[in-house]
Amino acid sequence: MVENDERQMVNAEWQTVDRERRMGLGAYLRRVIERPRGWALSYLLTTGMALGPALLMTLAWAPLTRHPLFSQILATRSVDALSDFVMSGAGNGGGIWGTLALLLAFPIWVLARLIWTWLEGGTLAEYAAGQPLSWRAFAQAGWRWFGAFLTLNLLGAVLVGGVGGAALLLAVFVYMRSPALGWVIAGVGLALAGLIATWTEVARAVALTQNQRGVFQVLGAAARAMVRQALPLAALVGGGLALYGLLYLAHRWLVDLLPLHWWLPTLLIQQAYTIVRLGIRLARQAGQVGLVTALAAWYDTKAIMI
Amino acid sequence: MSNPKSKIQNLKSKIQNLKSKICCLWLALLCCVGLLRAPAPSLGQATVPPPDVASYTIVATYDPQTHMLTGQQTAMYHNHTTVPIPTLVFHLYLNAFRSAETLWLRESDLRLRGYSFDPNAPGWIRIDQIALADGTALTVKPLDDDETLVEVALPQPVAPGASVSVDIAFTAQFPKAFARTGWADGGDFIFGGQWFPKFGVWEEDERHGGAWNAYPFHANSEFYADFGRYDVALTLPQGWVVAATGTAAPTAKANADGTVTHTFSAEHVIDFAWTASPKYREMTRKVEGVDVRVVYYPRQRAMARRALQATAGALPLYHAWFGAYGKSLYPHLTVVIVPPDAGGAGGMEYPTLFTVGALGGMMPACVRMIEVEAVHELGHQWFQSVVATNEAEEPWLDESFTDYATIRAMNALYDGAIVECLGWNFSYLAMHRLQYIMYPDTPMAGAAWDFDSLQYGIATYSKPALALTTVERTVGEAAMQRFLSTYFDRYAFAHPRAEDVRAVMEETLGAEVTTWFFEQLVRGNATLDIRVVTLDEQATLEREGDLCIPTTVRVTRSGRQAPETLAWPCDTPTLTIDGAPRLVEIDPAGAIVLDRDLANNQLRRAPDPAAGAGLAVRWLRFWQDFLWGGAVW
Ligand SMILES: [Zn+2]
Repeated sequence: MVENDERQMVNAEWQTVDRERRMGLGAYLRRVIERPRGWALSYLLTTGMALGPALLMTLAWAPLTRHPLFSQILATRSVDALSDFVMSGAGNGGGIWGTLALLLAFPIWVLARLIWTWLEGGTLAEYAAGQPLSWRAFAQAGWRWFGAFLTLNLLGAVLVGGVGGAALLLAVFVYMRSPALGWVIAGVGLALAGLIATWTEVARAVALTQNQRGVFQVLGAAARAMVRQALPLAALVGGGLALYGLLYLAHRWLVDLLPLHWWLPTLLIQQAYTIVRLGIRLARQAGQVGLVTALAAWYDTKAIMI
Repeated sequence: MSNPKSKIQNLKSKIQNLKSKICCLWLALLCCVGLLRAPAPSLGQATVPPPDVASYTIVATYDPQTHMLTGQQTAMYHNHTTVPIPTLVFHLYLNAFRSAETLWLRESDLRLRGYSFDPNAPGWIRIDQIALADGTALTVKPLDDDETLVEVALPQPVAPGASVSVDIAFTAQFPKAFARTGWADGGDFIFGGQWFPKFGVWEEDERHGGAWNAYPFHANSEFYADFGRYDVALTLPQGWVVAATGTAAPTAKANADGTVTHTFSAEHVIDFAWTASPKYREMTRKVEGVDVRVVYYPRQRAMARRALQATAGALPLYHAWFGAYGKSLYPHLTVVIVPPDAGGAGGMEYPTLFTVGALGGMMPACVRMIEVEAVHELGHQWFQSVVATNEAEEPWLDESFTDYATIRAMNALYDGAIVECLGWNFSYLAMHRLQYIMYPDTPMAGAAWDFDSLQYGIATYSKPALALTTVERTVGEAAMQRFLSTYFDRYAFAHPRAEDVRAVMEETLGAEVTTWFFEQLVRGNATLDIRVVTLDEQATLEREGDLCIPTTVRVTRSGRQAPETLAWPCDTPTLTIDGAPRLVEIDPAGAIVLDRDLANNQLRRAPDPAAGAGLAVRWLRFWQDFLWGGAVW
């Protein structure tokens, strides 16, 4: 039980949004490294929760490594070997461990998303705050924003899934008649899905910086912010995605160089990839916090001038 | 492989100095050489002398509004047998599409290769008039309900060594693009395949004497025809680009009514196909002395470039493996990229011309459907256009060599992969295996109409391609080379039968391979699964199925010792290996791609811990991605 004035103090801590200090975008991006708590926790969460099913699946499939063809599938990503293996009686399913992992997959995924949503509150609050937060303030921010962020996440998932799915179906249908138009529709659908995802992400930054938990007000403000800050936002999101792409290719290229048996270097490369990828995502969100903060400061000055 | 290449280069430089007449002499010489080398000349051997057997002069006008063609044809047939020819038999292929009730459409259930027949846009062909050169009118008698095959009685038989010439006026209505022929793009595209009255093949054999080898048009069936000369004049509206079998006259003739007449001539060919569209663009490239021309729709430029690239890649390979394109008698090669709504006309071979686009529109570069289609259809220039087997009675003969060549060329050009996306790869060979293992006991021999469409695919494409690949990997590339080039050399411009292939195989590869290939795979229903059944203190290996292909077993006992290789003859159904081997691999070179199950050919005594760790690492990454909620955003 936290004392009333203590809660006030904690709230004040994460609500100290540095509007008056005109900080550049770079300063917010640097906070991902300078205040590494969110980054570290998100990696530990992802990895910790992945370990269980990963081990179960390994137990399930380890006996299959008696078949050299199975190892070949992993080593060369050969669909030839895969189809021969699937059609064969040699390897059948994953047994009890595999079934267990598949059964656990959905609950673990839901749990991971919930914890992630909670973490996002603290992490973004810390990026927005004048100084690093205490553990208590970090946790409190997590709880404070949990409901709003969860709603925004769900809304985002439904919208992205709906729009993306509909565009994909339409693209497949049109592709039969006109392949070029099919590709265009798929591209537009993908861009639209990206836009919606960005919208709900910016909404979280807006909610936090304006201390506003009403989802619809926040979404409206986020839309205005996206229009105002279109260019830097596009650079932030586009740059992040481009970095993702490069990172993916680089890690793929490296892993493909390694034989299947060199599991330790593979592990190191893949984990480095996962860590950097999480960092890029958090940098994007930190940048969004910076952009909406700058916008709020701009509105403030405008208000004073009027 | 250096030997045949230099042989071809020699041949090419010689041929470049020869005029066309001398070419014919050379061809005759080649035929004689073929005869000398073959102890017992049979029906199929290259005894066809240069007077062409079936030749056509066609003057035709095509109306894109009605998709109808009116033609005037002089067809000449030369009797090269010792038996007089009492009647003439003509194929009228387009009549197979005159209604949904025809034999062809009933057999196919109105579909071919995923494309449907449109009953509102049927096709037909009608002989309006037929007469001998002296004006004697002849009558046409249908030989089947659909009139895809007709007979014309002659007042006098054609004596051996003599020729007969008939003048035919005909009208052809093209269907909406389907089964290798027809119009599309609202009439702006036309592919003329199987479009004129075409002779059957007059054949002689010891038992039956002389007879026309010709059947009503069946759904699975392709074609069979004699070699001859074609002179074709096609009149179309102004502004249409035309491509066809053979060589185009240097200039087209503009007519007073605003139409243009395009003239083509082709020698030593078994068919004539053409295509036209006002929208066609073209690109050309010279590849090892062959002028390759690609015609395509403007939006299919990328597809055209890919087809040209694949063609230019495969052509030198086929030169080296089989012999010169068209025995150096064909100067041109045309690749037709059919527009997206004419997929039914895609993926078909004609002499000096083939079509690509049966598999629909543009695919991402990592899916090589366009490439594999081009590489396959190009192969038919050797096995079908020059070695002209009977595709109705023995459909496996041309597809086997063509698809084997396709697998081999795909290996050479693209590491075998028809799909290579995001690091995952899938080969043309594996695609055939997926089809083959559905009915591996289907004999390859059989007429086109003996099979349903799935079994037709297995018997004529998958199984023979896998069987010839198994032969190649069993005998080695050098021996295979002898077999292939001897077969092509001996039967260029001839109509070999399965027995002729068998004789060449026996001569070049020996009796053992020939026996299992012909007795067990072509005519028989033998299959094979070689497998490691158990491996503990002892390994037990088993052969299931009668297919008798000897193989080897590689046994690894410990990491330090070199593995040992044991022979496993096919009369030994089970094999036991003592001493607790660490790893046992049957057919370590992966030669027997006909094996029903390739996954059970190798086994370790214990799971591989390092591979297990590799697996764990990959699962961790997979679950991290999954929990992250998608790897991209
Ligand atoms: Zn073919």
